[in-house]
Amino acid sequence: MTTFFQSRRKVLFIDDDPRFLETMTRVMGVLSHDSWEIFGAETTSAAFALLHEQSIHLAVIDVQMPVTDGLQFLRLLNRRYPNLQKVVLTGFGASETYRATCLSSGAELFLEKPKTSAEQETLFTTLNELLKWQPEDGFRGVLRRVGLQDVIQMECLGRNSAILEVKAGRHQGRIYIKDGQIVHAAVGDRKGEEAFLYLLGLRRGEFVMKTFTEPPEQTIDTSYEMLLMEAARLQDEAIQDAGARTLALASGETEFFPWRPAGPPNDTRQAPFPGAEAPTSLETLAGPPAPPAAMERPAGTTWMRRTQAGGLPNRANAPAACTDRTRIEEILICTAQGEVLYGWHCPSSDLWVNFLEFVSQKARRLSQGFTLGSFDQLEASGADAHLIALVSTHQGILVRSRNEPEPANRETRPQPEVRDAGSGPGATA
Amino acid sequence: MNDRIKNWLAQVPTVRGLLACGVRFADGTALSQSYSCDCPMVALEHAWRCVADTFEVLAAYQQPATRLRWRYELAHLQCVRRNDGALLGLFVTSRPADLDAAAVERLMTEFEVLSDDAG
Repeated sequence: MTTFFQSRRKVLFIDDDPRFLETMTRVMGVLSHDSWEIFGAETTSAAFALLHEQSIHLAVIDVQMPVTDGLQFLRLLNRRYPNLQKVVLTGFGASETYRATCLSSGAELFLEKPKTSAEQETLFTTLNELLKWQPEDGFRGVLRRVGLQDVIQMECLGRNSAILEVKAGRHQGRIYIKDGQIVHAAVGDRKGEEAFLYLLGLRRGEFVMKTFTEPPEQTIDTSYEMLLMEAARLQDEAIQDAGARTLALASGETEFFPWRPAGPPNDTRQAPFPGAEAPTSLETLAGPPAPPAAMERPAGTTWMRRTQAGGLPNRANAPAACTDRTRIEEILICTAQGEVLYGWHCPSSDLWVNFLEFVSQKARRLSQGFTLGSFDQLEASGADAHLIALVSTHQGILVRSRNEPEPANRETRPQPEVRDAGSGPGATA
Repeated sequence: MNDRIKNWLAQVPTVRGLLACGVRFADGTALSQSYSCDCPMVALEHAWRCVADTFEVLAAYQQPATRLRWRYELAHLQCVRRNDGALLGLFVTSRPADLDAAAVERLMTEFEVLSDDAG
């Protein structure tokens, strides 16, 4: 078995300040007694090149680099290299929100840039500890994989040149990237931006990256940022349309889940709460769907009576049985690739997909060093709000709910009874 | 307050099904106790940091939580966070029959309400 001490660890520092890189290379080399192999990259492009060539174990990223937004770079890095440990360095007093955003975007740690030798030693100790916790392959994949847009963004950010060959059914097209700019795209009779947007709008397919050769013509001169933004906007519209169609079809069981991924059919029907029996359909869980034309939260839906309060072990002062009811506020189901399969009152689906990705990574990190078995779910409970995040190799499911007291006079229709988390296996009395 | 919590942790009684426990303070320092070879001490501090990150990220997602439960096949990690930022983590068996759930809940509640003048 290869242990930490038997192989040199490869650490990549990414910072636009060459003096900082020189200092880190020298100081960390001394402190590690040469057990680290240290690399430095002044640009994201150089960083991607090094990551491609070397099996880097840890990347230490300055989030204040020019040209590239550090957070954006971190997210790309996380998607492309989910098993790479990432640490964010910041030279300023970042807000708690920014810190949390970095953590949820794949950073293991968020640290201030060292200014003194004592701080450098502290940084070394911290990073060295982190290197001992290398992710284990094979336990569970990170939720989201790299998509076509990610690759285009990475190639453009890296000022690279490449050809992306996209295949989806009978469609086959090419996107030419030259020195970080999209210069040509073609699919069938389409050319230019129309072809580019068409290719990025395909919901299925595969792509390969090929060595760059000059395109037959240059048909695109719009910046890649604008093109990707337009593609994302069109995709959002397509998802909204698809969501509306899904809701409209919800009454037909066989049509309800048109994009079900491969895998055990019961996967999509897991109980919304621990201990609760799986609903026969999502309609049971969420209440009848809103009509497509009225996506706003309809009053009086999704009420379920609970026998106990709280999604987690009851608080000491909670009554043994209370009449609070749980209102499901949001449901999201997505594939392992982050594609939203079903969203119910979920306006920020991207945000929650990121959160499921974060849970997936943390669940894996948490299990390192322990004998915990496979991960099932994370439950979070606040004052009156609850969240359950289930992550498997096939999909992620997120349910957000809130306890609300029962109104005295409200028209209700018959509601399904669900058993509370507190009565489920492993819960407290 | 940290001393009070440290003393409390040192006096945590043996609980059936409790595999390990630990406290992480707001300043990032941590104390751990393990009762099972399945929960090595060296891994616990790392686990508490993951838990702290999760609380922080949830707050950033406008979903502030006071309790978390990570459910794995063989064990659950139950966590509670105090207002002062200190958090308690308890690794417990996932088998209900082997767990004194009431005692675990008592520990979590005690931790939540611990105060300097509580004795």
